Amino acid sequence: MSVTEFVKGKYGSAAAVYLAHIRRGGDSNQKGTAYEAFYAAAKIFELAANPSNELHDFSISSQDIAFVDDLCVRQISIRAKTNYQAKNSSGAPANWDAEMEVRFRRQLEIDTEFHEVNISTQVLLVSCPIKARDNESKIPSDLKERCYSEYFPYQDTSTTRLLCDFQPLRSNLEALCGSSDLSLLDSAFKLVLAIWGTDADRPRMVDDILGRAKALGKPNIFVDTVIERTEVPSWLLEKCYTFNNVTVRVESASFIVSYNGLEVGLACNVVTPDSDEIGTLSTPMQFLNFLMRKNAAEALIGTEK
Amino acid sequence: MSIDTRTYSRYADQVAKKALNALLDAASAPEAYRGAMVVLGRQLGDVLEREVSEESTCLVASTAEDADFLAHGVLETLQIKHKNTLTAVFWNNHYSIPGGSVAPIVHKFLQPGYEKADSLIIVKSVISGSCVVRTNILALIEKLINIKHIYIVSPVMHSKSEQNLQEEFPEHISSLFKFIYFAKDSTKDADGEVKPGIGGQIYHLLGLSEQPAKSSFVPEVVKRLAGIM
Repeated sequence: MSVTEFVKGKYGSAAAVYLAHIRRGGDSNQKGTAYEAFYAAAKIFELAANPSNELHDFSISSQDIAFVDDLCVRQISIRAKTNYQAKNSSGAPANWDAEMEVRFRRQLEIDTEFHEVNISTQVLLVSCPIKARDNESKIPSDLKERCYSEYFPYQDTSTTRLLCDFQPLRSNLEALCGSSDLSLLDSAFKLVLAIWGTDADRPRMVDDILGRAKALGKPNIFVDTVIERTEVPSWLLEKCYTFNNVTVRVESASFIVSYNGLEVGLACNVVTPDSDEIGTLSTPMQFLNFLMRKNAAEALIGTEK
Repeated sequence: MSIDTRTYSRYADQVAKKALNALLDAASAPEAYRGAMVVLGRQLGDVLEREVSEESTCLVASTAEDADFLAHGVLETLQIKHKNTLTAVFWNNHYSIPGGSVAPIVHKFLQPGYEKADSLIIVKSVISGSCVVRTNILALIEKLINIKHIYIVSPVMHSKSEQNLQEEFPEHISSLFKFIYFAKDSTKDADGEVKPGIGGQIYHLLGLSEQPAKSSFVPEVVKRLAGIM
């Protein structure tokens, strides 16, 4: 049985027609799609930045056939399902009203009876903090445990403005990238948005999305896990010690070799070079040139402007 | 591609226009192309000398491919009155991804003391989608605690780049922008290259085999300032 057939049987034909209408509205709302995509990316970062989460346990999808249909996050192991209705508005469309209440109540029932989830939660996502607060006060007491309104800023299509405007997003990205460099965080955000925008209409695992974003990054800018940090390999550390003023540190997913203001990046998964080859490098310039070539060959292949 | 639809800014004098045309004429002559870029840099530096107060501490930031040519020209004239001007150079890996492009910084040179600059001068040979410019501003903006002005300096911009760049940043940053350019073109090709722009992809025109991030290219200005000649 499909969701639509279930809805028709439980709520009648008019409800099934309304469900189809909701889906068509979602397909045509490009402005809303950008807002939803930014929130989806932010949710992926939030889940991934929490070290207690197993990312293969979470799936995320958009525009499901549902009364609360903009985004759906599932935690498979505990059969939890959270649906989001996104309204990038501070006006009436973002209100918790009678129609919204019907949709949220129905979705709770569909999740429990049709999808057979243990924990169903419905969220009204709005781009105005005052509206979110007002909505919270309107949600009936019998729904408060399973429904709420959440604020998430709308910044059109600008990742940069959203990063500057929304600290929780930035904090999560800093944890995932191992850096507070705004240029790097902005690139990481765009990589996940790019993956999210590809084939967004089917449920995908969060670890798969992040893995593909990592692969798309040239160089990779996501650290392996939030709590693990890579150590500088001995061949690199020892070679740096042989020159005055050459230092090495770990930043994001790279080793940064520095000399008088010049910082050369080397991917953390760099292949150990032949010791004879390293031995021939007798000046800082030769050494830094070698690292640049090595990084280009190993970490930047497959990128075209 | 014709330059008939090109519009010029009030800064574009005859020397600048001649150098812009020289870029288009030197598409297969890297030495001549480099020379034209230096001339354009000097002309842009002249404009900056008039625009930037003498008390300012300037930081000139460019990509590695522009450092020895366009940015070198800018520095030559800017440093007449701004002797303490500092330099930043970025090796961006600019590439396409679904829905757009990214330009992560692979290597960089930041001249010691750069943090004290109050005027950031972003120099770029051509501004099209502004991905590289945005990335390099983001890399510096939070480190420049005294920042008062951000000059975005280029011989040629796409007609929509200025507005797009303004819209990408929050108001407290975009309000610092001042755009200094000689010409705007309104056409792009399928690869996003501004036409006629600067005549094609800068790396090839300058005689570089590929993006500096994908090679071991180190600009002379970096070698000199880092003491690795």
